[in-house]
Amino acid sequence: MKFLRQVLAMCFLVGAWGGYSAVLAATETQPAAEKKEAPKDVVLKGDAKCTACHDEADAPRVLHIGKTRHGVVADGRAPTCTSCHGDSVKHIKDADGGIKNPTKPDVTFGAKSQVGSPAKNNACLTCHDKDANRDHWAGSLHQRRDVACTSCHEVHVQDDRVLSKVTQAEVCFACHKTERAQTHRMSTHPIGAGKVSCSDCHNPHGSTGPKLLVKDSVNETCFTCHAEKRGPFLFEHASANDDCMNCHTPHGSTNAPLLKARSPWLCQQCHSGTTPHPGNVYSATGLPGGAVANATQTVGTINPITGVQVTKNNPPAQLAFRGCTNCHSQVHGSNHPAGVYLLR
Amino acid sequence: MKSTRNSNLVARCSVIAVRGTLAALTTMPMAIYAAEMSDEVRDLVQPSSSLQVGVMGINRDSYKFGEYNGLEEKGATPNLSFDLRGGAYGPDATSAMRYRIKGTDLGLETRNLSAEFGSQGTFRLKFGYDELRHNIYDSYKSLWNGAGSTTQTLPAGYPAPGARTTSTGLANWNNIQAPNLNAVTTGGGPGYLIPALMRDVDISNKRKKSDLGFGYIFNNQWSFSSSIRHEDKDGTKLTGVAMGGFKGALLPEPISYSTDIFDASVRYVTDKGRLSLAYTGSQFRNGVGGWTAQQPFVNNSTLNNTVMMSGAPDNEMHQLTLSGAYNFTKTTKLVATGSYVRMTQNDQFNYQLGNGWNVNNGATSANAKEIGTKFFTKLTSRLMDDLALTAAYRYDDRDNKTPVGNYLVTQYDSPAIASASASNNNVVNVPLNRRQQTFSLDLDYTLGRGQTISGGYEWQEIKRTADTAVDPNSHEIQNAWLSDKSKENTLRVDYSNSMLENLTARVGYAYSERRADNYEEPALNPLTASSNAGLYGELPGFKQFYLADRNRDKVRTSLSYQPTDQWSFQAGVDYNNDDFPSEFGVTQMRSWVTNIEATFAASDKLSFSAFTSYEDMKNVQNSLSMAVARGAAPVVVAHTACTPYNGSVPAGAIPADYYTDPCRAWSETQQDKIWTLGLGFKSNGMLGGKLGVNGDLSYTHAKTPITFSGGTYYSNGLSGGANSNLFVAAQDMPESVSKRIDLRLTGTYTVDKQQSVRVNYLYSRLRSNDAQYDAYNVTSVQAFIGPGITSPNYSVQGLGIAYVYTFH
Repeated sequence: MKFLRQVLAMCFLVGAWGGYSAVLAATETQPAAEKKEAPKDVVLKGDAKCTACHDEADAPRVLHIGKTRHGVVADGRAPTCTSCHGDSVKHIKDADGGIKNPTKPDVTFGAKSQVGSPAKNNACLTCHDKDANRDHWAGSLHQRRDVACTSCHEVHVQDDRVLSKVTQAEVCFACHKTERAQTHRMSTHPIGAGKVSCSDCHNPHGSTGPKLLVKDSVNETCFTCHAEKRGPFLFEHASANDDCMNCHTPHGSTNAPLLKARSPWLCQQCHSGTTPHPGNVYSATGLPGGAVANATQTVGTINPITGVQVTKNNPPAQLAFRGCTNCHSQVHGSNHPAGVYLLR
Repeated sequence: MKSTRNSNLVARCSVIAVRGTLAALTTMPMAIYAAEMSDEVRDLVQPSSSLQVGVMGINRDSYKFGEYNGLEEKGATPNLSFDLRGGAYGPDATSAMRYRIKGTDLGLETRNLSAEFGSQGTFRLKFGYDELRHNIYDSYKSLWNGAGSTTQTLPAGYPAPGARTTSTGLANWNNIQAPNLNAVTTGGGPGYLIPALMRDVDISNKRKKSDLGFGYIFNNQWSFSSSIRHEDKDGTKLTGVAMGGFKGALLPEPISYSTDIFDASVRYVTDKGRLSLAYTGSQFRNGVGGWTAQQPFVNNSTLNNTVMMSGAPDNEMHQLTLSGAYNFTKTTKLVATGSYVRMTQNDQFNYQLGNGWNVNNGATSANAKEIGTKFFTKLTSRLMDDLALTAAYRYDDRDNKTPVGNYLVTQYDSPAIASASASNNNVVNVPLNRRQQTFSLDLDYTLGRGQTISGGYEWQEIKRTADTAVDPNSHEIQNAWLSDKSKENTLRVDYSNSMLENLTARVGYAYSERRADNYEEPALNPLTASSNAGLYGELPGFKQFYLADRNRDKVRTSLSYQPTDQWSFQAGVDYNNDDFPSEFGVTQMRSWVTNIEATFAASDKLSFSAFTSYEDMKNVQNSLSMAVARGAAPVVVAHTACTPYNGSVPAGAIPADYYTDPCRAWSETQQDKIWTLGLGFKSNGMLGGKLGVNGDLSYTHAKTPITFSGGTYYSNGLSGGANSNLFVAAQDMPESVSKRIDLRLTGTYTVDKQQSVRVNYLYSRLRSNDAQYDAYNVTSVQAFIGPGITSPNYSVQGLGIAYVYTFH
């Protein structure tokens, strides 16, 4: 059968040169006893030994490698099939021998692959270990957790989902399910909108920072988009200077803007030990109509026009709206000479 | 595989045709390679290009729905997307040139455009442009004209400053409820005028980002890469403005940010190691220096009845980084990175000079500077076949070299004359320094096939210091780092087992103990005979959570099971608990999360998925109100029983007992309880393979209960005497709830190999409440003008249709 295919292929080779219609004609007229020729490469240099069997009918995605950077053969670094899958001598021998279930290639990457992550990754790192992005792969949490390159990357597709801002999060969320849920909350970065991707903040291949952050620290990572908060300021807010994550959570929160808790109680986590108003208890008694709002008022103001006693309800401003930041709005630092209390 | 071949004649002919054509093409010159490529070949080996033209519309205006997606206005919006790719392809291509030009959502305010061109292996040139509109509030109301400008003025009809007095009755302009709304008279007071004069103002901003990148590979060893990014962010944000005391409002601050980031690096690579030198520069500029607003309260002629805010100051950052890596053996590698960072901020001060002010002897800027020194190194080695080691050390030092100065000022544009003897007028800036060192050692041991146990230890030390400054009024102001050093030790262990081919389980546990050195314990404020002693009394035993002692437990578990080719299940539980052994302050932060997911592949063309996540977070803080009624014996209100002063009510109580008075103690617990559910399906096989449909439904239900225990005393407004202070028990806040449904359906009908039609339907619904906004109107607080903001709610349906043309 293979022989017949090759013969027919040769027929079509000639036909293709003259046009598609000629190819069709050639299939009917080419003599069967043509001299056998070695199969030609289809996409990559040296791929013929694989594509002779793994053709578009068998596994069309194999040939899609041509759509990718790996398929740019004029780049001297471009791989061929065996660069990643190994020489797979036994596999080829079994296949050539007509064995129905031939030995698998040396390195396979599918979901059912029995090849361990290190071996899979070696296939990639042989070339990509020299990329700056992979300097910190060894010893990174993903490496130590046996994550394979192909756990995230698809090689035989035109568009690798993890390389697109719009679809990348879906790939990460396959494992990071808590973060997926957090992005559905009231306050988020525009991850769902495809405008911020996980890799804007994290380098999944390893980094010098904590939590695989792209920068050396949390604050530096945040400042790449929020440079206005970098300072240094004349008057610093110590907790913001220390770590943005003291107050914020990055993936999603019920407390806008991406706060770990609501103000004033978030602020009180550090400041309720200070008098006067930071140390007050702000509970529902301070809502409009609450006991505290009324308790602090002197009674007796009469509207001179209506003659009716004015209901003076004065809920504490610290509980309303944005809490402490109604007034102390410069929580990331102030450059105002009177900004020591972060009011200016 | 070969054995899976079918003998379908059509397929075989296609295969042969492709082969034949490809083989023929190999003999052609490159220039005509692509031109004569058949469709079948192109489909397989050449990237396709696409053009998408369509319309997207929604049935209702919704600012929140359109928060980030550019779809906030009712009606239809034409949209265009394209993805053009070209270059050389095929096994005999002699050129590595490829290009790609891509545009997405060009009809929306979230449009993105990118282009890339290069000869792979030699050079690469990239360009990108991106817009992102961020809708923040559309229910905000402003009293001021010129909202979002640098000069915000009170509207026509607002009384002149001289007419705004503190007289009671009709016109107490420090009480915006005076008189109540019933008093509709000529020249009515603020309680009437302010609500009547406020107008809707949308709060939003927009980022426009463009970037350019270039990379060049000189040879196998040397390469260079660089990029420059420019981003403008313009619009408004809402900013709280205090106006002469406990008065204020939320105002639309103008934003005119511009950020430039430049990166360049040179890299040298050999088989054994690599070395790179990189520079990163970042420059932030704000077109808004200071911005002003007329203050609407009682006449404050000292400062022209104007408050002046300072915008975010211009700043710069320059970083030089040297990195290297060396492979001692195939399995032993050392990497090291060192950086020098210089951050400066010398923007001019923007303020209005108050009475008696002395701004650091006439300084016009902070001349702020911070020097960062960073070093990171990591050694990884496979000590034995089954044992791997990772050791890392990180050093991160920030030395704030901003000059310390003396600032004699009044706060919040107060009309008072600044006085060196006043408690909060004479302040100094306190530059903060931080040095963090972390060392970690991890071992991963493979017990057997699919079984790994890992153990690790981490040591971390953070030194926080403040440059010398003294403010007698507050420890916090004197040195905001109340503890100058903390050390944390962490032990962690992790075990994973792929016990069966289709079953993998993992469990991990980490325990950390952080101890703070020399945490500043404030002395009990000296009491005077009168009530509140000291403006900034600090509570002994209170500790700020991020500086305090902490014991942390972390548990991670996961299970992955695939019983059949069709079914797969994943589940996991994460638990985090931070205990703070502080008497006051945060005492606990705890969270646990459960995730369950299942997928079912009914066939190659039809699959379903479902997931659920439940997260429960809680933080607890304790405190004690010292501020109220320290010199007087409070009374107990019958219905809020609390026995103050350790039972000696009221006789015998002494003011010094306030620190142990149980009626001043309170505790607050804030929780987030959040369910997230998701369902999805994907089908590619309908109508003989011509129709593909997929859908995703998500539902989030979030509750934020905030509960209290304890309470404290409040003045009842009567002057003096035992009855002037009442104990009021704290009450739980109304629960904040948000419920959100998102449904997305997409159907793609393939007309032929080049043409398809895509239809999108979306339904999104949000219901939320938030007492901190919903319970207030603009005059609910006497001296703070409410923003009129309400919790967002929407129900939006959207429909999009697009024609997609795919070609080579």
